[in-house]
Amino acid sequence: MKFSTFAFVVCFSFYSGLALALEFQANLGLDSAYKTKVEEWSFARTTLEPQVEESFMGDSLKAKVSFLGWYNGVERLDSSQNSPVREWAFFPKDNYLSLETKEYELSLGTRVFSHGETFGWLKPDWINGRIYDDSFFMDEDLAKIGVLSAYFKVLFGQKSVELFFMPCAQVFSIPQPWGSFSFEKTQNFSTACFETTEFGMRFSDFWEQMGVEIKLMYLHHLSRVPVLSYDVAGNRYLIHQNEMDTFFLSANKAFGDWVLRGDFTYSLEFPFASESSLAVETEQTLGAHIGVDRSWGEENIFLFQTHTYYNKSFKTLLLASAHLEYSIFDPLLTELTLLRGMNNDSYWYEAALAYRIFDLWKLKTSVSHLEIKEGPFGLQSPKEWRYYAQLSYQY
Amino acid sequence: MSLLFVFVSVEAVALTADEIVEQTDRVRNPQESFVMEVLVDSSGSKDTNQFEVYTKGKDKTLIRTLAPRRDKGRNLLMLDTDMWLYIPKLKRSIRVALNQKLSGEAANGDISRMNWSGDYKAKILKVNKTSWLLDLQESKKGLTYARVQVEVEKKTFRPLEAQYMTKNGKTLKVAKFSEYKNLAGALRPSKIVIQDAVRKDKVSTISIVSMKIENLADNKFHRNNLK
Repeated sequence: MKFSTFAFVVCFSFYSGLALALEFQANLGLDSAYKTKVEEWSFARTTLEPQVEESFMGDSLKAKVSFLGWYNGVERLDSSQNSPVREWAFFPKDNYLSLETKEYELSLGTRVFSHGETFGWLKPDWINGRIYDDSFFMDEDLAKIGVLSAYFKVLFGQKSVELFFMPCAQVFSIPQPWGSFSFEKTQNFSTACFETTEFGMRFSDFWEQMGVEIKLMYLHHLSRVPVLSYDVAGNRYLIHQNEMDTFFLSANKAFGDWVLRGDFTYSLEFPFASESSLAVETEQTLGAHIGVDRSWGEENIFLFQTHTYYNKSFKTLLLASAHLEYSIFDPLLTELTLLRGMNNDSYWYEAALAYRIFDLWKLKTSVSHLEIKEGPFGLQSPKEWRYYAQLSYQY
Repeated sequence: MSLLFVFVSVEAVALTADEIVEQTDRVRNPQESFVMEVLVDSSGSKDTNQFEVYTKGKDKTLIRTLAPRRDKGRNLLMLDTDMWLYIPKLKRSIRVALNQKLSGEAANGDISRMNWSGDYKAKILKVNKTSWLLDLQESKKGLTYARVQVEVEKKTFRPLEAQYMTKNGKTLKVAKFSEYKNLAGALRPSKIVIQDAVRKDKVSTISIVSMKIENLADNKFHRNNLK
């Protein structure tokens, strides 16, 4: 796995709600971005993420509908470049029927799940696939695509058991041709429903005496992070995806103002690019994501995390990330983010200011500096600055 | 039962500090499981925060955020001194520290921990003509406030004023309890004004709009059931 595959991050997303007879939530965002290097391009994206929820039979039966759609107005500064992002996009989010009692929940339909204790970036939140149309300006959680699934949850005491069954393979949504490069998927599994299925079971408990929460999960799934190899003859990138099995252990414990979190994975058939980037290999791989965070006040948080993958081929791949959100005064929030490779000089820094104009209006601007020493994906320029602005309205 | 305590004069009865605290807790809220609607107004904020609070026993509280709209769905669960916050955007509940503020000067613990007995060991600091001054020292780790000094009216066991302190006795906030009205079958304080001890202009007002006794299932207080 190359460092470049970790670059699919920049934060925006908002939520709000309005209680009507139907529960309706939506966010509408207008984003503008500008990138400064050889492949310079800028775009303005209009995003819509509506969500409607209706309850029947005294909240026992729920129906939920939501999707994510956007329109990209792309201005290419270099006419020889192809658009790196498609103009229109539409993705399902939560579209399911659920039957809920005090102890049980059963749902059918497309659904966005969540897994992991650590935040953002590299956490092993692999139940859902993500949107990889463009490598920038997509918050990791917003980028999740709802997966067609049957889901069952049972609660007993402070324990819970969840079962997941996804009958249709979640294949990557990949970028359109970029510059002189093209991308092509490679996979050795059938994409027909009920031929390649994903499934898993998650158990969670809270050990009250020790104040420790744990989650154990087994998941048979498709690899979630695109791994690329370069096809010299075809002058194209091959995006590799394969079936794999992963065992997860997550835990957290609070110490006063601080919370310690950890996500550990043991994956069979974990894919990664070879040293030459000309092939993709799979190996048993251990992953460890350990983080500590301190929250204070209403909106202030500082978190620091390390992310490690280990297998026989690349031994260790270690990154560190830090994030600070600090409210200078009520409507103004500052954010600083750092992602740094510990065994290479790759990094990503971002500074952002978010200002809540009214209750539901928010303006966010950010500047980020990115340098990737390894990896080819979308990173033809070694150093670059990006500027980003978003105006959002929630209703 | 609570009404009885309100009208019984206890001046002649020698009560221990812990017994006084227990009686004061009974005035503040029912000992059965209950649901209340709470509004929090804070200085410097145009928003009124609205919460629906479910409490069972002394160690289980669920706070559902109803307003402002941008925070709707950010629900809090407290199990003893452990706390989780549901983030709608993330679609998951995350572990948070207990001292995280709910709104303005109001900490999560100001709403979710409405019983002092069990959490604190009490002693009587001073006996006035009409009130006791009690010193409450934490008896467990992880509480919002390590120490509380509270003045309790002798005749009614009503809390009048509480100073929330560090372990060393430095006052962090001052809370005043007022506007007693009939809530869940007894006269209880419906307004709690919390003021920062240093920045006097930083004030939050907790208003209890309604309170009713309700049988609540244990699974309502499950961290995987917060959405």
